[in-house]
Amino acid sequence: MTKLSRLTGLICLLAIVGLWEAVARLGWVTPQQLPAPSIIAIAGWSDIADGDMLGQVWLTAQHLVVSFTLAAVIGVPVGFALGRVRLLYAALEPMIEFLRPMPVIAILPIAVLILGLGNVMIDSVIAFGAGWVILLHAMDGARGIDPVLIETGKTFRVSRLRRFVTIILPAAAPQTFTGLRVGLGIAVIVTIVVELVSGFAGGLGDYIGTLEGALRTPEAYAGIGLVSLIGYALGQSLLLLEHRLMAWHRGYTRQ
Amino acid sequence: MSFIRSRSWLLGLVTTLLVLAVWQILPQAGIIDKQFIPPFSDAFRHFVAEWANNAFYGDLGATLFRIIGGFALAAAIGIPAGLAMGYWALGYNMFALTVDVIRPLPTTALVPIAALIFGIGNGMHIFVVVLATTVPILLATIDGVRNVDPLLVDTARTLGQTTARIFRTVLLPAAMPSIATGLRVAVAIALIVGISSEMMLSSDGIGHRVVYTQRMLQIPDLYAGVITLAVLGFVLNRGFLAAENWLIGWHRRATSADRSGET
Amino acid sequence: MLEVRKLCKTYTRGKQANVVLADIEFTVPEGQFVAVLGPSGGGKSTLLRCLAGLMDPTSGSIAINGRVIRGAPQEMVYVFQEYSRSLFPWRRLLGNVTYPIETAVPKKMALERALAMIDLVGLTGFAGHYPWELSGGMQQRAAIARALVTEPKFLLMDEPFGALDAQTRIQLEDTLLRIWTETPRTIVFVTHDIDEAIYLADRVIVLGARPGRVIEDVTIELPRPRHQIETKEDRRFADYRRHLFDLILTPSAGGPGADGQGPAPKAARVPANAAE
Repeated sequence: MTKLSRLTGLICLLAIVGLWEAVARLGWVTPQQLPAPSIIAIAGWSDIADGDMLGQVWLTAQHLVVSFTLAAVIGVPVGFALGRVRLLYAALEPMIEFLRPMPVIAILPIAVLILGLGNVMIDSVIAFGAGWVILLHAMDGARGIDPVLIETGKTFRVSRLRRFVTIILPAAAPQTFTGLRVGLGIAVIVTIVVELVSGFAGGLGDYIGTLEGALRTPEAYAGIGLVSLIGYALGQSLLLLEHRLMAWHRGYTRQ
Repeated sequence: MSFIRSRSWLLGLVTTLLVLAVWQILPQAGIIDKQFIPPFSDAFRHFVAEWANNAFYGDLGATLFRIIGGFALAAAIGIPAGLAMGYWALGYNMFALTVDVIRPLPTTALVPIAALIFGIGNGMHIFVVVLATTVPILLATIDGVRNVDPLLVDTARTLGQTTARIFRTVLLPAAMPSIATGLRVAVAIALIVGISSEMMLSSDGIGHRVVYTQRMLQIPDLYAGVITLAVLGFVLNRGFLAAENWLIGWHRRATSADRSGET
Repeated sequence: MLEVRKLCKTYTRGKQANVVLADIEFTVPEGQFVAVLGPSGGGKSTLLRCLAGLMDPTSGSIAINGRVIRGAPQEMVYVFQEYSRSLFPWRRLLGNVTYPIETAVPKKMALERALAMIDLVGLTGFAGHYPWELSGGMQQRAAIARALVTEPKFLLMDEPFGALDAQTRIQLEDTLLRIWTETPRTIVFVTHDIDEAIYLADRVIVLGARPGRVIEDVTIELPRPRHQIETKEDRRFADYRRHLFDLILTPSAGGPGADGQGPAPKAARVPANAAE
């Protein structure tokens, strides 16, 4: 991207925000619906200064990190096992393929029923939502490895363990990382729903829901902005890790 | 190994039946509390009974309308915008940053706000679904257009085609495989976000139904609802794949021909 | 010495049994360059995969110096037809070449040997490149370097130059001959190109198709070192060429329903119970 094109983008973004400000100030929409960006910024800042919001942010971030880690730690190995052990996949294929496109959030009411409304439920639902996508991507990645690569290992009489570490792992890594990124996106969406539905365990989802009830829209918008930032920061760190571990892949796909 | 491969469907069937049997027996034998997990037969009976229930059709219709409607609207916005941003560098430069800012928005967090703007109902759910699905469709379309072989566009130009016609007859079909991938992702997101939205704030729809039956402790109905959601996901996905195959079957055939020519 | 005895390979799909190789039998003395020539779909690759231990024959045996082999044998290395897919895209050229030996020898030695092989195949200076940054011909050189680094007694090559353009192919043929002359090792080279087979090999084993069986075993008595122009202008080259063309292109060698017609070559019988 050139400097000029960045500048164009920035000007356009500022223009859109300016338009939003104008529309809100001119009273075309009520402040309950769409408050002006400046008001959101002020409300958000005062909430942060109160320390009120930061506590909620901390809770949400905790839920996200704990559940996402759990999802990755379970989803990736199970996905690999399903992808490489033919018998295992054959046994579970009908169930996996039937449940593949299920809306993961469907598990929420069952989780509430069995686990109650506390943190265990929240973390389990998020982990399930993210873990399912991570598992599917890892599984597809491990299943779809070019057989020539595996056979190359065989012709050099590489041990099973080494074949796994030096061939299967790197070959399935790109798709696994895609799964982690998609899983993170789903984790953010699900976290908000679960926190809001749970209703008392706190977190930004709960916070946003409560503020809406109290008609404090600017604060709610500020909260949404913060959740965005957390999601963005986590996504970027994941991307950084991906580029570090798989520097080869960017050039490879550009071929 | 060939024995396993040729009999794999049988193995799958046996395992599936085994899982269902465990689901049936454990609650029935009292090893698992029926209040938490009812036997499979109970859940299934309620699932079947739903289809004789008018209120259920109302919920199903509402959910389908919101998810498919929101998805269609997102496609109607995302594809043309993506074609333009993919083709004209200026369009891309102008809006890429804004899209990057919007992209990580947790759309489910906007549900309460959407309720304030549209009131609780179809408009709000559709708004949230559109917000969640437009960006993936847009990005996939941009990607698709940027990867179109410039030779195709030049060919069309030398044949004296207008830009409008090139969009419709060259860029759109050539970018279609990538667009289809974006649409498939969007279907999955529409489903999650639509159901979530119904779970958070709604008085109807399958999402509301499962949360409601849970609160009322109508446990077999809750499980029936969750089965309905899984079936819904499956059917929507299959429907989408069928449509995709019908639209861009040529692409799959072309790539598989490539692959067989390679070896 | 490599001995192939009564090698059969049958694929069974449902009730249909497809005999790909029938009673293949030949012996390769140490250090010989053998080309296996045959029409497309004639089971050449299947034969080579059986030799490499990537595939189990339905019946028959393969022995090295009298020892019957199972799985991928120590002394053999297989060079894939799909060279670009067999190089690891996540390793640089050097990493790809050290791969087969990095657990067996100390790191420093592995690097030295790999660099020597990279020089040998003419890729000096490219050690730090990723495979996908190399051209097709260079990728195939890389695959050959990786195969040679293990110092195998046998090199099995499956249409290694099939996907390359004519000029690159000529260069690689000569590189391969040079390497072979410097360190003679047994090479079994599968190709469908008649000229390539004659130019490279001491001996051409001609396979017929459906089922694949040895229809002739031709010794190439052209002088070495060979030369792309002089060798190919040799009268005998033309004679071999005509003879092999006749063998490959007559209906008895391939084509549907051609089995058992024409002059019955040795080992062309299709055993009724090839699948056992």
